[in-house]
Amino acid sequence: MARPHLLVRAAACALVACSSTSDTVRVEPTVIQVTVEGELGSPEAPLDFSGSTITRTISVQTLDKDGQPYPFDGDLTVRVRPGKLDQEAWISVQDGQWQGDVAFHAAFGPTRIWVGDEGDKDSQSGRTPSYATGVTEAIHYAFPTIRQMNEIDDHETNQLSGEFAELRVADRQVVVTEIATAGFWVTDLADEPGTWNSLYIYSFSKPTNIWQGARLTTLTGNTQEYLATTQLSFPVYIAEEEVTLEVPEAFPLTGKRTCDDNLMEGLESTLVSVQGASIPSDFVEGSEDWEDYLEYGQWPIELADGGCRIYGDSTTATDFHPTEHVGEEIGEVSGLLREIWGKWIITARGEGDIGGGGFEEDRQLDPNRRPTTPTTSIRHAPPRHKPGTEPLRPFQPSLPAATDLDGHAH
Amino acid sequence: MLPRQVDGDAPDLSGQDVRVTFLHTSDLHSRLLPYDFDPSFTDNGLGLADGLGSYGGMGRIGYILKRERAQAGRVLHLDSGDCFQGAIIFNEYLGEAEMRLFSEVGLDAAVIGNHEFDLGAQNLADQYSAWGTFDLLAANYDFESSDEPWATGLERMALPSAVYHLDGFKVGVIGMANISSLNSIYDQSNSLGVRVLEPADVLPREISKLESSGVDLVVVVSHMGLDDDQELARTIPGIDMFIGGHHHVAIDPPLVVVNEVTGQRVPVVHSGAFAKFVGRVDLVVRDGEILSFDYELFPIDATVPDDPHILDILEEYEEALEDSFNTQQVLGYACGETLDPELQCEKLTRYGETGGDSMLGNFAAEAMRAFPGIETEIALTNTLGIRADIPAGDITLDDIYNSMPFDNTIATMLLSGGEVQELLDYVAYRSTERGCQSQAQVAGITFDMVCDPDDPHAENIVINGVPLIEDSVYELATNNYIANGGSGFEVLERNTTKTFTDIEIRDVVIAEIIKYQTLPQPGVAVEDGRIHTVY
Repeated sequence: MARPHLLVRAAACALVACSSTSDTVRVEPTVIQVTVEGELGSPEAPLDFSGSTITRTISVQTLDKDGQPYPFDGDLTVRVRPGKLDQEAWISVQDGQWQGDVAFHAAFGPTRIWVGDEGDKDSQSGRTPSYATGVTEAIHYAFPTIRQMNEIDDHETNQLSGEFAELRVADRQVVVTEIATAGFWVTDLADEPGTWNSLYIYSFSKPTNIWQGARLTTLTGNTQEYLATTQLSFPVYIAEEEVTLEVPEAFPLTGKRTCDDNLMEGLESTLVSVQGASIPSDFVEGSEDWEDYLEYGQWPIELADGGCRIYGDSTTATDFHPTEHVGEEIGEVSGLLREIWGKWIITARGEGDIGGGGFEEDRQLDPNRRPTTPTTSIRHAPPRHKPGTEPLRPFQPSLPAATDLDGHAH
Repeated sequence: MLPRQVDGDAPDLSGQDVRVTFLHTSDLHSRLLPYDFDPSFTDNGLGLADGLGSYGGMGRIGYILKRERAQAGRVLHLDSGDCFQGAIIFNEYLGEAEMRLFSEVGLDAAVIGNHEFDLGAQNLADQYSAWGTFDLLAANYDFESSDEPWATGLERMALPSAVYHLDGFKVGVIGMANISSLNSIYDQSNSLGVRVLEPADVLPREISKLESSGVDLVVVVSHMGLDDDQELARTIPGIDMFIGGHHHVAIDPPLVVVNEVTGQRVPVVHSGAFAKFVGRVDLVVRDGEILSFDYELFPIDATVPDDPHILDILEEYEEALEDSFNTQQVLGYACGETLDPELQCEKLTRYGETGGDSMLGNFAAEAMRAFPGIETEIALTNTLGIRADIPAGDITLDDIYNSMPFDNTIATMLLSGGEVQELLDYVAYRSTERGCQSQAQVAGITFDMVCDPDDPHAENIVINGVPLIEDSVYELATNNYIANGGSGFEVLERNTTKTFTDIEIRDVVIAEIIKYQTLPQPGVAVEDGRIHTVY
């Protein structure tokens, strides 16, 4: 049933350098050999991970079916796996040879530079490609830390976007700061607070075999920007047995910091707190914040020392009803910081995170709020829409794929 | 050392880098004809954009497969099963169209999915023998001997594995069929004629066999589900890649699992369901070791042209379906702008916003218990019996078949209060494993579904306004699938008071849509919190 696709009819080969067989011809090159100069590192002693451009020199030799040097003239493609190419993807080869630099960044783990025959850059050249592909020996780069993965100028992506992420945690102090219904948050204590060192891990169902304060020794998964918050989906994680680290104190946010998106981004998924928080008096029926609250449960916060408006999410603190405290100071608010397309939101972990838990008197249902189910899941609360884009549907499971977890016969 | 030529045409590739391409489909679920739906945020992230419907369709998949084959050297197309069930074309043609079209697009091999048995093992055998030209794989199924007069013949048709020769490169492909959902299959004959074998026994044997035959690569095409794929990739040495399905997840990029015995890094590829995506993985292999891989997921939307040959075949079926069923007949209207603002919606959803009850679930369950002649106190149906949302706009017969493809019928039975508690506890248990997304929809019942992984259970159960009484008796309407123990509903399976009505649930739902005309309406096809999720 298999088809020898490398063999094409002679007529199709009129413009192609081919080696002939009986009634078919072989498109050459059959093999591409690629070598790389310089240090390769090793799994035990890898080269540094780099979010900036790295340049490596490679040499290319094309071979024919018999393993002899093949005088190929044409374009070949270059890619880096895993990693991101920082140059044009085409190189021009003459007489079967090429030597030059390849620029890339964000390579991690065993990385190889690919050179393949996928046709000429000018798709009208008429040359039939062989799809032969060769790779360099593995260049071993270190797996990135949480900070190295997260730290990037563009807040709507991360260094490993599009990659299966294997994070460097075994020799770090990566602690579970909070567990929610569909995932958990971690912070790498080996880095200072505010240095992009926290991450949300989305596990779909409530995570098991993990506890608050657990130290992770393995953490892998797919990176995803969910409503502008970086998360790891389809995670594999292992906690060190019988080890519980102290969960760091909430990082105090100042008003000044709330106006600096870059500083705030560095705190994404970190446990934070604000002192002297109040609910602004313009949080009234008909306002956009009010509508968002009705839909998503998020409410505005003003800080005592000024700064920019941030938001609270108290779906896990069902005793607290913000509509009853408009214009009032509510004291300290703490929780996990996340971004939803430009809005910074503190997601409370429970009653104690709002006003020190002093809202017992609010225990009856907020009459202004549409009934929803309390949940610590972050999946319920996208804002109405990103400015300038189409409205979002109000609820989307934050699955990284079109998951039904289905197939259970019916 | 340079390679030498070994035979007439194939090169000796020892010591050289070889690129091998796998095209992948999975869980097609009969979506051979394009269909409308509202892509999720996740779909969007994977490249399936809003506003580019209709989506899916075998004509488009055929185009992508042909294009990608032309842009690859050594290439195989593997399918991870469940091509049957999910659209009206299956109800009418029983799998013929799926088998025929997969053959026409040049599929190399497919593993058997659990839904391939939906009309019985004999139907699978009949359709495959009539139309299938690809290899049908299932290493972990031991089929009844074909010598038995009642045997289906699948023993002769299904292979444990197959070897593909790709210009000097040999790929061994092992099929691993579904296990986790086989307990969900009940068959009219009370037997599928299948003995399921342990993966830990089967895989080493097949790997050894393939290695003895000199393959360069061992690939498992699986319908076991993502969890099992990951677990087997982690524990069984000698597998180079898993290409899986069953859970309807598209994962881009693929996962990488490190085998705990060999340290080998094993890609685990899943390309989703309902003809929304085609996956392509490119490997570079040297001396049997995957050195590196790359992946691309192609969304199937209206921007993808149809393959003309496939389209011709599809049109035969489409025209016949239209003649027989008038599939585009309008039954009602969903989510109109004239609705009360409180009722406005973008679609009729099969999942609830908070994981509990849903618009379509409530509608179906209420329709079941209220249907003349049924008229039970309570109803419960499995959420996954509803397979798709119904988009805003005209509700056509085609929409209904896409949403409710199963030919399930209503069954009634008497349950004690204690059994109702057990039933809902089981719902909580199954739901907790699935992100606290309720696995059942109900009528006449409200309850708290407590998704505590250590103690999932139902509490505060109220039946038509009255708290559940343990020693009281309640009459339940449900579907024949779970009444027979499908999806593990043992409390229903063991019940001895069952009556099977042969009234199709889809017909009941259609009647209700025609009755109401526009959905939702106050108290109809709305989420009302009857299943309250508690974490």
